[in-house]
Amino acid sequence: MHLRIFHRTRYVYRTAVSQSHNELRFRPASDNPRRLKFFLLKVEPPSRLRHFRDEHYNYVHWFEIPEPHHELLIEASMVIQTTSPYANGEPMGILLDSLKGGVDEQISPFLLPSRYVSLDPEVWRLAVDIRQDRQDIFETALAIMHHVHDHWEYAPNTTHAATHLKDVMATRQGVCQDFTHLMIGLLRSLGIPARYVSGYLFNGPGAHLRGAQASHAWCEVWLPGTGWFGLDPTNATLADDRHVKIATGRDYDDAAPISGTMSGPPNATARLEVTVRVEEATMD
Amino acid sequence: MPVPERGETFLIGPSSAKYRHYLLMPSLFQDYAPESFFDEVFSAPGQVRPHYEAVVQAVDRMTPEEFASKQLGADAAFLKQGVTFTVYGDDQGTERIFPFDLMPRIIPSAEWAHIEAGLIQRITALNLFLHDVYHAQHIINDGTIDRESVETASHFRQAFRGVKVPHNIYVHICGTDLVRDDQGVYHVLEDNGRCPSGASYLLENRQAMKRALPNLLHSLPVRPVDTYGSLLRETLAHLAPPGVIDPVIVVLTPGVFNSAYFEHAYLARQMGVPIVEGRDLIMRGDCVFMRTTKGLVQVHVIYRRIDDDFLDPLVFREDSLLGVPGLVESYRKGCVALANSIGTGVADDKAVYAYVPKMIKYYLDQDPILPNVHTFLGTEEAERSHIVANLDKLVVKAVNESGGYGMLMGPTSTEAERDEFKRRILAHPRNYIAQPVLQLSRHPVFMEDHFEGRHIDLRPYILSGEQTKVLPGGLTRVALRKGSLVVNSSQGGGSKDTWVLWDEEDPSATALPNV
Repeated sequence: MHLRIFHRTRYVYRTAVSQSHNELRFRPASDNPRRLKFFLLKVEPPSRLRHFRDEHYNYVHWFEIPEPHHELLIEASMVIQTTSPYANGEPMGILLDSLKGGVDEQISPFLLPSRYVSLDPEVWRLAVDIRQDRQDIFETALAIMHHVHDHWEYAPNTTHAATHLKDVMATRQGVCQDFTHLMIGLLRSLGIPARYVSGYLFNGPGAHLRGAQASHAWCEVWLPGTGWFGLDPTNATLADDRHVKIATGRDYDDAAPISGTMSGPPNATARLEVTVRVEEATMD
Repeated sequence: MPVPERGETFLIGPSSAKYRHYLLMPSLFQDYAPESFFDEVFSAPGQVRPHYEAVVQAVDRMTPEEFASKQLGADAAFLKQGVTFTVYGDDQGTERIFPFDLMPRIIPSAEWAHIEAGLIQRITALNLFLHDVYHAQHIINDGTIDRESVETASHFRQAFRGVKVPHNIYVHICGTDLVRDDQGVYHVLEDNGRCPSGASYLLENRQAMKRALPNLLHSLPVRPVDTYGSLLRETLAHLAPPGVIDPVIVVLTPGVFNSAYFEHAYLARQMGVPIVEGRDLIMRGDCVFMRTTKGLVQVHVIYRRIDDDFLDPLVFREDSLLGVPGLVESYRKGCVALANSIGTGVADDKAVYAYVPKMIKYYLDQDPILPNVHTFLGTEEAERSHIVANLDKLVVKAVNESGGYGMLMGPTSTEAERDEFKRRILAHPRNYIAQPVLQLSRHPVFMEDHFEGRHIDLRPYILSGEQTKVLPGGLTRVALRKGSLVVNSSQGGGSKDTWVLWDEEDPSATALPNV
């Protein structure tokens, strides 16, 4: 599928802020030009834009605006060709036992607690209950995905960017980011490596997928000898060619599209406007 | 030289039996020679590039007389409709038709995707550059571009620093000139970020094609260009002051004696907005009003086709009768919007042009998709010596001129002209740059009864409003004089309709974001 994506974020500040330092994760980590046909990232006020690859191989742009400014605009546009990793069916048949011998250092961080995902006893209890006597990793992951989707309420504006898994467990509601953190916590509690994916979701004609109006998040599970496979607990669906993967990490903290600091009074941001459009690239 | 056997060495297109039949008839392309240039149509003598096959076959089916009569019909239509322009410093009567060649220039979808991506990247960087040099000047303070190059540009408006413009867009309408070298690689020759003209000719050329060769046009998946009027209107409406739902937009022209008056009137009609002269506008408080038969009407957006210098006698040239006193102050206060903004000429200064690849790297962290033509700067001592020593091999351009004025074509220049330029360059090095003579690509052009190769360029139009859009097409200009590399209309150039094809197989090749 060819998708074109436009993502504009505009911060309007109450008073001038300064010393703004930001990191952006907008360019897909897999940026093979045969797949990523076009990419442009614009920042206003204009400043020098540079990049590095972080420890998860995410493509991170960064910039600094030292002078006082009243607005900050970040605009990304791209055309990308997506394919489904499930073209050959679901990767069944890899058993939990295969994880017993431990995983290598590349994968081990995704078994540990992270900033927004703690592995508390009640998470573990729930994970064990959902798993029942399943032995297959992917089948277990599917069961967890459906459980999260069916028992948590999708409720925009009840949580925020820094909502912790503990709160998601307590309130039993949230958005894609919270659903994803919960699913990651459940998987890790069972010793299954799981990571956070930030990206976009294409809501095709007639579809009613949640999370397509903004940047989306879902979860990937690691299958020994096969690799990472995406599952979207917000929509209870496999992450296929409708899902555009941009960045990955242990949780939101590693993969957030925009993160940064600036110097200004408390609650300096008066308004935050976000526009996300994900469209199929066809002729108008 | 013996005439080659038709159908053998002179094979056009697919070698089907049906097609061979046509080749036995007198051919319009019979003696066409691509020579050593990059020819848009023929990859080698008799070898047609795949995207031109249908057109070459169709044209070749006509006799020279048939084609000539269609060409005459098109010319007559242009004259009748008054599609004309004025040449300054010419006493053969003020208005001329812009010569039109009926054989279209065709750009396949993948090639267009490359051009489009390159143009969007470039105009984004140019707008960021303009925002930066009129505010914090990071790019200068970081030492990426030297202060002198920017601030000595004659179109840099020091007085305009710190002024906030709507949505931080400076160049709303840009016409970027592209040329292809002898390998077919597209280069940016110059950016026209002040008042680029030519869009009306592009639209009229398509109309002429529809009348002259309707079946041919519809036999190929040619992307439409007639959306330009509504795109332009949308781009301008985006600039309206906050809270104005249905803005009043006008086209501000210097008047009927301006070389591009036809275009001003044409675009106003396409958009369905009034065309005004300076004397039709009046200030009341901070706002701009238009005199109408029903009284004063407030104007929110002005598509001005008047240079900065003449815009407002209170700020720029005080002897200007074309502008509106107080307009700039109103713009500063955000009561009216101007397109393009003031001071955009610093971005298309030919010396600043040399730095555009660095701007793209600086603001966008990318390499340029469309390369520049290598440029020697008069301000750099070593480069200046190179220019002066190689005047016979280079093209010398005055940095603030456009339209092919103030230019020296080294290889065809006279000794006296070179001496004159040498004197001028040494006296005012900041005013000149030089570039190697590019062997521009060539395209068959109809000459009375046969086709001959002529050099061409391409001016696409980029509109920056809420989104940046490139009209899928452009004005292909033709240097009609044999061997000439100068395509400017003011220097005896002509034009062609430009067909951008779309590819149903791979829609992404023609569908960029924001388009």
